[in-house]
Amino acid sequence: MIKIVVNAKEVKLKKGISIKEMLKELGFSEDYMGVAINLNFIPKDMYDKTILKEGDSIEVLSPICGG
Amino acid sequence: MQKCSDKFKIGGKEFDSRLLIGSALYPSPAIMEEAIKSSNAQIVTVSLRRQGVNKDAGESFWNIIRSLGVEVLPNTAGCHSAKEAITIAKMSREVFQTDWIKLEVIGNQYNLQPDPYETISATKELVKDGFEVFAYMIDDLVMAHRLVDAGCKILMPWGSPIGSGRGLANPYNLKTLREAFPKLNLIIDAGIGRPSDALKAMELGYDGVLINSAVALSKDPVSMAKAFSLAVNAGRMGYKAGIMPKRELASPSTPVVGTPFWHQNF
Repeated sequence: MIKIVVNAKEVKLKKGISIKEMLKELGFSEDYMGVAINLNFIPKDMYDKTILKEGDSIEVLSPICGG
Repeated sequence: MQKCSDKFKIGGKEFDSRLLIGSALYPSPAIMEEAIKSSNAQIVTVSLRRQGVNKDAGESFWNIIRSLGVEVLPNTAGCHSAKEAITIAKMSREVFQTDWIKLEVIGNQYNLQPDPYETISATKELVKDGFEVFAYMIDDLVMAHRLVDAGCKILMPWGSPIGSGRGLANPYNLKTLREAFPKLNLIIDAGIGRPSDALKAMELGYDGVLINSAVALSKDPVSMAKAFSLAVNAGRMGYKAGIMPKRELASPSTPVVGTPFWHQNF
């Protein structure tokens, strides 16, 4: 197991898990969203190739109103 | 008769409306939708925030905005460094499918004043990466020059601090910016409180005005959105028509020839 932080919450996930698997496991919608790991943008076509590591900090963001 | 209306050309596109409107702070999504329609704005600002698990995930909001057929302008609100803003810009480009980014890098939490150094640094990177940067800045001539040097073609000086409703705090600075950059797209962003503030900005020759709080926090956002639309149009038309110069002394408008009861020694 690895410990990572997703949207400021600590979660434990299996070792070797990809972004794509993490999103599914944690119940995130993939329709309109973007992902960053440790402040680096990850394009959608990299979700299944990017493996999460212990201590990674992940942001999963969706559209919201803004000024 | 000379036609005073003119197209608003910005970021490689053309618009009829020079009012940009924000999508935040409305009493409800339905009122937001009606207010945006009432404003006739064709550019609407949006943002990104953390997605809640198993929630609506921003989809209903995004569906409303998409149904309006407007151009979206994503912002980097809440970012405090160039690195954060660049990452949000890249995420926004993927989510909203646009190269436009309203770059906000906040340097002070008290008045939400933009950080000039981080804003300029982020602008350099984003322009290199093909973004059309709408740079939020204070009304500072030197910062404007640095942003232009970095490749920025759209400057968004504040009228006054975000959400303050204090209007145009420094008209002289804004006038100076307009005179220094006569061909650059200049949009007043932040601080506008009432329609007359927007009108004054347009009379100064600004290309557009971005409003959010002044509409969303009014008692009747739908009516206020219309009021701002009219004010922006009136200000632009007045600017294009050519405002008369101020005079030191009075000058009668009614002809003086043939004035009744006129006396030489009066």
